[in-house]
Amino acid sequence: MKLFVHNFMSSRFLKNVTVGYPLNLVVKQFVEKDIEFDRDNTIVMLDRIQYEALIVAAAAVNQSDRIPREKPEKWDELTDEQLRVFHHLLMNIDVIDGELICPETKTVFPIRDGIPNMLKVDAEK
Amino acid sequence: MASFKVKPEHTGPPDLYYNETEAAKYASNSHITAIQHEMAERALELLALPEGKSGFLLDIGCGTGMSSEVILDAGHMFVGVDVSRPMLEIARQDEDLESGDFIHQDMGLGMPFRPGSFDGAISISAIQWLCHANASDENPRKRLLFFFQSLYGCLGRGSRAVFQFYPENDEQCDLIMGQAHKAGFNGGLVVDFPEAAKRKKVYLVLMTGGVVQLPQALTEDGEESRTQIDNAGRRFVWNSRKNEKVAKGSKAWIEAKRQRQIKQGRDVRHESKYSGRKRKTKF
Repeated sequence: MKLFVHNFMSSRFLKNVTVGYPLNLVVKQFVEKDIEFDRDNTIVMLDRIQYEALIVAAAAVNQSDRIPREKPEKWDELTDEQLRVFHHLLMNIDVIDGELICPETKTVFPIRDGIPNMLKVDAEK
Repeated sequence: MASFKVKPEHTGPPDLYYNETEAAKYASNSHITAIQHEMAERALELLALPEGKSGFLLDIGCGTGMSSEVILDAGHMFVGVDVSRPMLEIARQDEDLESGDFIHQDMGLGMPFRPGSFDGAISISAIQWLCHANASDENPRKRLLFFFQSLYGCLGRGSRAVFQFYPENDEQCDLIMGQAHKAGFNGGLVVDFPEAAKRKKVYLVLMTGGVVQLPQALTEDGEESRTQIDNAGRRFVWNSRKNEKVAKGSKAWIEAKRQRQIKQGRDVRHESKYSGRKRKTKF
């Protein structure tokens, strides 16, 4: 699971969850891929990103010092160099093994072989 | 004959049907690939995304990622959701799909995304799986409604969701559309090539904001006549409820009332061909 996906995921579909965002992320193993950098696509993606959740994701892979603490004012004013850092974080980091945890119900969703499993195996009582 | 063929959704739940062998078969069948590709392209066209802008789309029931590939080719980004893990594993190994990502989830359990995540959603031959109960505690009606509600939540305002599916009968169509409308979507069916049994394709186009005209359906005879046959492939089920209601005082109304009172254990008159008739003026 790439880190940008984490930014959009929520456990609101569970019963009794009101916000369910951002999900806590536990990373046990990740690989770095090499996906082509595209300035426009990166900006489109960054426009949709919730910055607070991105910081959570960056912290989970110990890379929070690579991105600024505050959200940059305008994405399209950033240089390619700065955007590449975000691109790397969002697209290239692929979580192979780990867990997503609902912040409210503490339900654990395992990530195996890079695919997060959101099926509620023992839920729905 | 198409009608003699067993539909896969009748044989069992999707996560069991699309096991390793079936998933591999599916991915390598060039006929399926070509059709899926064509339908995904049409679905993307029906989404009517702003030209020249890259969007972020949801691919529901992405399977091995054939439709996702179409999304990428059109310059958009995507996240795919499917209930079959073997299918997703094949999709993840595909290098063409590297820039997207996949999530293992059952549609009926809801879409696991925060509000306003996507610019649109497409789904190719997936929604009909939701119309069948695979366990005693599964209620297709509830699952459909919950699916549509959670989908409505994670789409941006003014965006669309397009579902291609093969409806079995009108009841199934009505069920799916009814639940979609209940969840707040506007929209209806677009039927391409309604006259051709094999080429006929049904798309459910759902919109999140305002009443917008449905896109035109494709028909057999090229561009020219397409403008002439205006309503050929359109069908709205806006007021299916209204049609169901019987007029007060009519024979059907009297019979319904009689049945209701029998149920309540009241003493009622027997059924008669005379009930509801007008008396002759001479009487």
